[in-house]
Amino acid sequence: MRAICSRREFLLGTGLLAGSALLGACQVAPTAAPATQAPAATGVTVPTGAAKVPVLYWQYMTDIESVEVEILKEFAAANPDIELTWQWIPWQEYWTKLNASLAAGTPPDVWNTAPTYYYDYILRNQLADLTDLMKQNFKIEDFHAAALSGYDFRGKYYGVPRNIVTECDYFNIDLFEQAGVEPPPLDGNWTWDDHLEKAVGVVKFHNKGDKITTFGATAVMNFGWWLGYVMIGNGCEWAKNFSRDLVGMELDLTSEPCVATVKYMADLIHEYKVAPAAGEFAGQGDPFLTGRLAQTWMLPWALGAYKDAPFKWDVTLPPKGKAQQVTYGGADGLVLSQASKAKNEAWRLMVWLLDWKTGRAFMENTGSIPPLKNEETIKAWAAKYEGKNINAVIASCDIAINRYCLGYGELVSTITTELENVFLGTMSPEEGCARATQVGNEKLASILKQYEEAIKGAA
Amino acid sequence: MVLAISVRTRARIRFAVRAAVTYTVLLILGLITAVPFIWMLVSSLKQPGRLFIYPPEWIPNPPRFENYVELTQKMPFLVFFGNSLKIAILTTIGQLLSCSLAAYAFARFEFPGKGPLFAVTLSCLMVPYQVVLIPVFAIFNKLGLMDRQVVLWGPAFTGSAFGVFLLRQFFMTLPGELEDAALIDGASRFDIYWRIFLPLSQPALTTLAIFTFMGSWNDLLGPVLYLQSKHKMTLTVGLAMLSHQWGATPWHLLMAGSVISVLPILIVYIVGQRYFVQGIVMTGLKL
Amino acid sequence: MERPAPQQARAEDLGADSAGIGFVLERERLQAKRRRRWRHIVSCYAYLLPLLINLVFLSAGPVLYSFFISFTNWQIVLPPVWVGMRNYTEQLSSPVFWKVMWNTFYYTLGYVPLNMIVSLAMAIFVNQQLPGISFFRSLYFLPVVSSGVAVALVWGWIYHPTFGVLNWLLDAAFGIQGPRWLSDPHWAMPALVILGVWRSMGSNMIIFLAGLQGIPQELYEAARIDGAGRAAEIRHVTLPLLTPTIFFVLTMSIIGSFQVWEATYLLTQGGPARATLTISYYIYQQAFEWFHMGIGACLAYILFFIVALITLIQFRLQRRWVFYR
Repeated sequence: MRAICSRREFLLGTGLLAGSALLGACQVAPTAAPATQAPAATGVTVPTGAAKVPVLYWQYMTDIESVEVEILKEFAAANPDIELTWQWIPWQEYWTKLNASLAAGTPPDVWNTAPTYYYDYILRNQLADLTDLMKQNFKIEDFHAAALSGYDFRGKYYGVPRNIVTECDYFNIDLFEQAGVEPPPLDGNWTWDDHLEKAVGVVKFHNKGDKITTFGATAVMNFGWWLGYVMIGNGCEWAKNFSRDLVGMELDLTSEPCVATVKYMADLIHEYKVAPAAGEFAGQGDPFLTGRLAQTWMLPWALGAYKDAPFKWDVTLPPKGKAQQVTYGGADGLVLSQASKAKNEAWRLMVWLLDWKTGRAFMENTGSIPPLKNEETIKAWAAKYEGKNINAVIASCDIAINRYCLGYGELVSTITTELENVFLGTMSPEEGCARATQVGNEKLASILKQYEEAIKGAA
Repeated sequence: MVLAISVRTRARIRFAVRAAVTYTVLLILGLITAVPFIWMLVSSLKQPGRLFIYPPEWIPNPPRFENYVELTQKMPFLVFFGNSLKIAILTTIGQLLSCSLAAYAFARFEFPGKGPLFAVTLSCLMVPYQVVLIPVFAIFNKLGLMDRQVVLWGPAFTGSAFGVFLLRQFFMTLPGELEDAALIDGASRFDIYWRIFLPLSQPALTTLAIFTFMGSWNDLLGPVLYLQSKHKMTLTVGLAMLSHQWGATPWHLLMAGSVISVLPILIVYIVGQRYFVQGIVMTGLKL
Repeated sequence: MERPAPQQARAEDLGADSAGIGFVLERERLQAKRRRRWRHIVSCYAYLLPLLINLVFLSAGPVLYSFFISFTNWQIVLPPVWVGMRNYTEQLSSPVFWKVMWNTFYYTLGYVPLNMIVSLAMAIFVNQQLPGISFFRSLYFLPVVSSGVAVALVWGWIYHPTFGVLNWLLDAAFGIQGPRWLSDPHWAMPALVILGVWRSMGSNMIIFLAGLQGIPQELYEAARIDGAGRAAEIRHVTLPLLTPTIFFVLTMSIIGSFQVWEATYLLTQGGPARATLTISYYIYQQAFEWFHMGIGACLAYILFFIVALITLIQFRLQRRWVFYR
């Protein structure tokens, strides 16, 4: 009788395997208790014996973790009936984990949302309607219109904005002074022709004169904000019958101001050679901070990021377009899961985070603009950036526009990629805009079709 | 006599030239491979905001060793490091045991279903993980394993296609005479696996150990996805939290963290090299 | 402990049949044979038990589930809706799909041969017994472990259109004005192939190095006695005996490069104009950014069929060139 291994040996082998697995388990055991049993570790202390309601909160702004932890700890101390757990998750992994958890039926109760995904989750029935709660706890008028504009859906709110982010023109004063060019006006009273003129004036060449060392403007730095550029350019509309759920909507980038905007951006790269092409600074950090770019479009996080820059800089509104002066703006916000078993407790957490009294440290430290209009709040926030033209950033909220909708990410990515051909110089602006319109509309129809089919299946 | 010296001298010259050429090639290659690492090292000692300036500074002036101290203050560094180490070591042990067992069976036994089973094993490598992520997540969720580190190292004890395939290839190169001799001496199949195949495959096992350790050590999605509590997180997560999508990333600290997080892998790699030599000696032995 | 006879003897035993023995005896013999066979199979599978658990719960199970998903419209947070072959027909007629597929093939065609040659040559080169060689072996492993930030930065300098090291070299050595590499749809992919090879050559080098340790020294000595030079030694001893390892690296490189993501994402994020968008990243976008898990799964399976076919062909062909002892 011959087996490949005797029983004893087999037992030895599997025993060894199981043993080492067990050994590992034992080592981990002290820390491997489920999250719900380890409140002390997350900073929450609850009187023993009380029936605690678990609330789970997720956030992706990992840079302000240390600030918000304090707010959450205070909340936990003030609400002993709630067992609060939280997790900060890096941006890229955040959405993967959120989607996996929603699919598995165990989403967090409250999570931070980017405006770009907000309508995707409302329309797929994942978010609780907060309209009434909001009206009970806040005055809707207290929120800035720019913050609310990305959060209402057919007159209802499924999320509450926590900040406002708008795109502004940040410029390096030292570079402008060296070039003997007047920096952009702080009052924002300038045109796109002025912008071009300044950009051309500030460009610096390598001593042989054939290579640009410092660029004067940016055209396609953040592809994702193309919508912003189109609007910054001329304040034009790019969609007919815009609607958050795409029904009846049609893209049109072929209007004269639209094409002119795209052409302007492409010309900055190819015609005037004042803006870097895509890939120019690949992997090399923010060229504005290394003095290789005299002015850049940035969201208000720049206020914090540029704080320690080794040169003088300031900020102003984007130039006036032919139709109007606008900028891109949206808001990060908090949402409450439709599947949450502790909606009341979760809402209490949201109120705590949103209220200026309790959530102030967050609003002051993200760099983003507080979503509340009251003067005291704005003043307190602006005080952190004394010496900078902070009024321009605040004023930019009044001219901010966004066009978030169902499938926003996919739609923007599709159109951006088509327009990239124009920025690469391989397609004329007219052709690029026409193609982007055609491909974009096909994509729009397919997003809508897929969505309607899935929602019908769910019903 | 004269002739003999000249021959020796010529041989010496030839040797010297060969050595010079060899080391020049080695050095050039070394330069090509090491530059980013050197940049990492240098940057980890720079003042904040001095990292990306062009032309690059290769000597931090003055070097800022506080970066490393600051890094350990920014996060529960030792806890993260310990978690990473624990998970990576357990994962490596698990992979070595389970993959070698399965690879031995695939390399040396004939049994029905062997071909298809091996094909299925390999096939699972060909489906991108993105589309199996949710089902796997749901399974662990159902099993109540969320926020437990065992999710990260436990599966290693069930093997992996990469490890099984790697070890199978090496086991298949071991001469059959070795086993025949051992069987005649009365060794069992398991003896052969344990006492002959494993010791003789040290280079291959070391290779697998290096890859597994590195894979587990660098894993970011796993811990983020399956863990919840901060004190269970790994160093990779800690470092990922330092870099922000659009905010101010403290690059100097991130680089200090990257240098520290490379060290364990390099240590495993350098120590592992010892076992690369032993394989030769053992193979030559008559058993 | 039982000390049974070697396997060969057992095999003969199984195959042998002796006529002329009584019917009952014969039946018992057959039963015993069957039992032995079962015991043999069971103990084989005992070695594979951990792997079987892995396959059922962690690999093949979820993989089969995602095959089902590829025939549905699954928006992750809504229940899947059966759509039959639609995902497949739609993708196969989508220009973006073909662009992405072509990019992936392009990368693989460039990466796999280059990677095999470079890492094999490096392994043979550092397999010499020289003072300080383990230091160099460690240096060559550094690209594998360097942080993505550092790699992107240094390769950004190398490929920079006007100040880059590469274009400076091209100009200085050949008087050629180099392309705009990462900003040029035609040159971005070749640039990333080189980056990919550089990034992974160290890891394949160690696999080859491990394989080289398995070659008995006697064979080299025998070759040297026969008067073989270094080149002949490599050709007639090293390469033939290394074929199982070469086969492994080749198979894994192909499987891996069809799923490449990091190397192409690091510097160009799929651009310019989708020139470096590979299927793996496209699957991620579809599945997790755009809520089309069904389409993601469908793309994954199209990729799977291609890679599986190539691997199958490789396994058939290996009989001609891979040498197992």
